[in-house]
Amino acid sequence: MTTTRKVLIGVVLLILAGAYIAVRYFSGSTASAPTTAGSGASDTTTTPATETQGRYKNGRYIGTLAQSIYGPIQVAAVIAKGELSNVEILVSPNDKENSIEVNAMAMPILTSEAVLAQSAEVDLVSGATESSVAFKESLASALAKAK
Amino acid sequence: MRLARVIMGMPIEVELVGTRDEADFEEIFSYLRSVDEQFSPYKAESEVSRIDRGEIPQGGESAEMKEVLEIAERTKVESHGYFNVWRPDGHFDPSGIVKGWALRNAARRYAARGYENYAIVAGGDIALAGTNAEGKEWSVGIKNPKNTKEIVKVIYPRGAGVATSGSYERGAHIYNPHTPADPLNEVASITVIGPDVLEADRFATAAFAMGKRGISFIEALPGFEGYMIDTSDRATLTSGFHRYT
Repeated sequence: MTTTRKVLIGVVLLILAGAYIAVRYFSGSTASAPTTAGSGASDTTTTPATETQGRYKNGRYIGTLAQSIYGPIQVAAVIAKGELSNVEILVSPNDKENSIEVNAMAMPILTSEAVLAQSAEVDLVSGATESSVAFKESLASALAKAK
Repeated sequence: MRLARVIMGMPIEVELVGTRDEADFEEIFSYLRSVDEQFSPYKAESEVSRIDRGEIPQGGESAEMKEVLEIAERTKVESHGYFNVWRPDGHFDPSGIVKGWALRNAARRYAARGYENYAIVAGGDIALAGTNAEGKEWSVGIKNPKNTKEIVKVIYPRGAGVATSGSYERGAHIYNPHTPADPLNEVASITVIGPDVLEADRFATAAFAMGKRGISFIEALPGFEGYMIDTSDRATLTSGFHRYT
């Protein structure tokens, strides 16, 4: 990764930290989203909290439009079920590569597991069928001949 | 009793608990055939193909098509543009929601007739109600996208709708509208459980187009759970998915 990209990610992380702190600061009161400055995204949507155990109020909170030496950066923090569930990059001076890295780091509550064959008997099955795959393959080859 | 037919290019299974009358099944099969006639992008005279060729003026669509278009527009907004019935090559293809929409309608027909225990399966999409023939919760196996003879997860939807979008569908109606050249090769399949099969189907399609971030989208969506299988044989689950296992 280039130095430019490393510094940029550092700046984005700083902004994220700011968004985290902003959300924590506002979660204990009845205030809703922080206001935005400048020409970035200006709408905020909040949904009523469906549970009171989480640390934050559910909703989508837009951080300030911050200026870095590489250009403007603005994020939105999405709270679902009382926890930070996603961070959206609304304004970025660079491409989506950084937002994918940042999003991966901001998802603490997804779990993962190995995919393993199960021997249980089931009533119904969800997923690709042999014939749907074959149908598409067959159609594609027919269309190729039709060109 | 369970019957299957190949319609819309895939096997469709219907199980109705408590009936041995084939006529009850034929009503649903013929409804699904009529949906195929109207919505198949592979049939030259379907309404979808005619819209694709620009032969139907805006506002001149059938009532069903208008309903599907309205759902498509809503899904596009709710998925931040990742769901789009217009492909980058300019063709119209609502396949990402027609299956779920048709199954939801079929299930409503059975419910209206007083059936309490049934399941309708079309590819990755499932509408079900009540319990199976043994009086137990319907069990659903999620297929291994790399080996369709294998089950890799067992879920009990308990009336919720189920839809699986997978890479076998890729290349047609599923693509990343923000970056059409994105090969979408990180996710093998994503299974979404939602309030009904149409809701599950529309968001499974949108989530698949988002690649690995699709599961985060489902996590943030209230009332939906998801199970994403990536191409490295790892599954990622939303935080509430365990309530269906």
